[in-house]
Amino acid sequence: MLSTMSFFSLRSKIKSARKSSASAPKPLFVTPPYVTAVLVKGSFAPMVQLPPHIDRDEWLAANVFDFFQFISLFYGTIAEYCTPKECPTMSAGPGVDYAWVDGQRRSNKVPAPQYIDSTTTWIQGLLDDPDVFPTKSGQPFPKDHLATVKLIFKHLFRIFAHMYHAHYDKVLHLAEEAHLNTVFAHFMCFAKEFDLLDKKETEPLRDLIAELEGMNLC
Amino acid sequence: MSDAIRTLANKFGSNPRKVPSAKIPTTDSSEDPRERFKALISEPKEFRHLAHSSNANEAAGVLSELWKTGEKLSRCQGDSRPSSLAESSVHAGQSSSPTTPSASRASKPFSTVTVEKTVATKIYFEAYFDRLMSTTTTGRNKRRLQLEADLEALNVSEDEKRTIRRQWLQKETEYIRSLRSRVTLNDFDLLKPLGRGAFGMIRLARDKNTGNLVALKTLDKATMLRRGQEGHVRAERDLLCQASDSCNFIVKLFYSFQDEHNLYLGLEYMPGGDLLSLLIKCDIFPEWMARFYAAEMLLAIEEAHSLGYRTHDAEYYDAQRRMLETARGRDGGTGTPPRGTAGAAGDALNDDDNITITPELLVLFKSQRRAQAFSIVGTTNYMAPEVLAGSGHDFKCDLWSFATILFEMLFGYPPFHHSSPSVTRQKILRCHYVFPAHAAAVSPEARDLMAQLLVRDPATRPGLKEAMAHPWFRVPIDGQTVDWEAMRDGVVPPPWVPQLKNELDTSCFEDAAAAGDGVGVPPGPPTVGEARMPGESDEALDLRKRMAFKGFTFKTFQP
Repeated sequence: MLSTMSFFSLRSKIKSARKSSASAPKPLFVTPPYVTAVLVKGSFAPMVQLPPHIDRDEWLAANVFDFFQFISLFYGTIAEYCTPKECPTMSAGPGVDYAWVDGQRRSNKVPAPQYIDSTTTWIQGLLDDPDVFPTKSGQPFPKDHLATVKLIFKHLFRIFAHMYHAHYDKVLHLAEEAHLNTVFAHFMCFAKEFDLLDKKETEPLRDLIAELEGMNLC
Repeated sequence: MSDAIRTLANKFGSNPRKVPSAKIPTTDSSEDPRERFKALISEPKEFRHLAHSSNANEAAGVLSELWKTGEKLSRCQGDSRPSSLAESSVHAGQSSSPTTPSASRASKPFSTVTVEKTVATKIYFEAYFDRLMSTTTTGRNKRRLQLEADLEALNVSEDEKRTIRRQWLQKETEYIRSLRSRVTLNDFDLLKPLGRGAFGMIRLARDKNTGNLVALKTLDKATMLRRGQEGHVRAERDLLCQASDSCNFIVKLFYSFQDEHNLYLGLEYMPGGDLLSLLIKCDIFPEWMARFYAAEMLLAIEEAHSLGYRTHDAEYYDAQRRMLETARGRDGGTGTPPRGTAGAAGDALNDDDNITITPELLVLFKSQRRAQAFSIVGTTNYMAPEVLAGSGHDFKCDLWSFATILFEMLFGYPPFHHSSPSVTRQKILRCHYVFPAHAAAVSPEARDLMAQLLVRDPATRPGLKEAMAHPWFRVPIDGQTVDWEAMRDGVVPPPWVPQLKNELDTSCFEDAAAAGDGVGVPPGPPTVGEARMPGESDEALDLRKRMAFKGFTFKTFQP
């Protein structure tokens, strides 16, 4: 299953210029009061744990569905401003531009809206595929289920990263920063619980994650 | 999990249960523009500022307001924030950097599409996280505990217990799995109409997967939006979702789902019909029977209150009232208390002194009872004065409503009924009602309970506990009194048990036959003239139909 998927898979290209960004001013989303704006008090940790007696794969699948809905919903609020002109690349901070790997394994820099559209179409296709996410009673999950979930999480994370880095002004003006932080904290908490994201992948939002962890949210 | 106390962040302080009176704030120069801006788009739990302003002109007004504040926000960003922040954040000069909130971009007005989507998204997440953090015991845990309790009682061997646990686990796994598959209308065989609600048909339907019968309620999105009822529907659905795990006196919700045009509520099917049908059949109930349903209604109120559904706001009054409607008998019907009558012909607008009900009016009332009961504006008859006056109210308004329904069960019409809704309103505000001449047939205790509850000042109105402790429930009628514990446990035989020919017998539904035209026909798109507001584009309506009900979909665990 993974082999057919990797054919369409997406890869990032994180430039080495990343290092130099340490000296750059902090982005707004890691500064108070925005970074501390959340809808909830308490930790997500108890909510994301595998409930007793529940199949792990089933739990992962149910949550992947939810997070995909959440992110699609959220991206919808700023989608109008994510245009090829405003976002010629799928950027996630200084020096981070994700490249889209097409079917021929060619790595292309595409505008962010195109990148996100391709990503979400691809994920939706997986979620709707009963061979990848079985819906019939008794049908087992494929062996590479965890790998599939990890791959989806990786790409969902990138959409978060793009929204934070490229559209945070809109998020603020729509007064939805608490909502975004809350959804992201929930997402990260789940990813940590099941080790779904590589440290390297989460680098673009490292400071934000540290802040949210400091608040004991995830 | 108990430490995960739900609080919504201070300044966003928006309790999803509390509907703020969302009005566009007036300009106040001393106010922090950011706060003003928030008041515009973060606070509303309803769509009043938008969905309710849904003709083009009004929307343009809201948007220009939004734009103005948006501009102010971007202009004063540098000065209104703490200086440390101003230093650390990137500003003009690096506006090409993606982390920079560029002033030029910020001042662009938001389009209707973005504002609609944002409002819907925010409401969705506020409600979602509120639910997530406030639920201390999940449905699954409850079911697990119930299973263990059942196993204990069964007195079976350890081996058998293990088998039963394995089967339970299999069911739970399938339930989680089923959450991923979408429910659509195609998953149901539509069998028979049961009645007509304010927004569409209620049909008897069979779930093709499980074979279970459900009462499938269709709600036309466009009509709901046009009448500003989307908040009510959400409140109803939220209450029913929460109630489905734990409540005995509130009808269970199995699914809620939607398509382009409609919302669907798949409710537990009560073959005995609703209370209104039964009341129409009987005209009035004998006192012992009225008392049984009255007691069930109070238990339903108790359950709803225990879930935190109090009526902080007129919006939720509706949820409460619907909850009253769904008070149900064990195998009697969904105890639907009759709904109001507001649509009657306004022939007697000015006779304020028409306190008692005239025979003509009574005839009119009875002839239109069913039609009126489901009219959307027909809530007035059962509304408490403080709800009508909008002067703030708590859960005690439910007890007023309860008393009006009790009155109707005993005497055949609601106490403040009048053919003109405005007169009804006046009568309620003045608490003008009299017991009919034949009221002497009813015990003095029953009259006393109604008299105590039908008082204008909610502070002097008895609460739920006091109502339940009222002597009326202890008076022996035919040697019977109300045993609350037995009622709670559901071991009291209901006063009326439907005689059904088979499981598809819908004869208990008053107008099942009358509504017979729509059998098996899936509800199509609404007629154009009906659905749209003047000046509203197809696009705006479609967007609203798509966005306004995000998160409506729900499935309950079905053993």
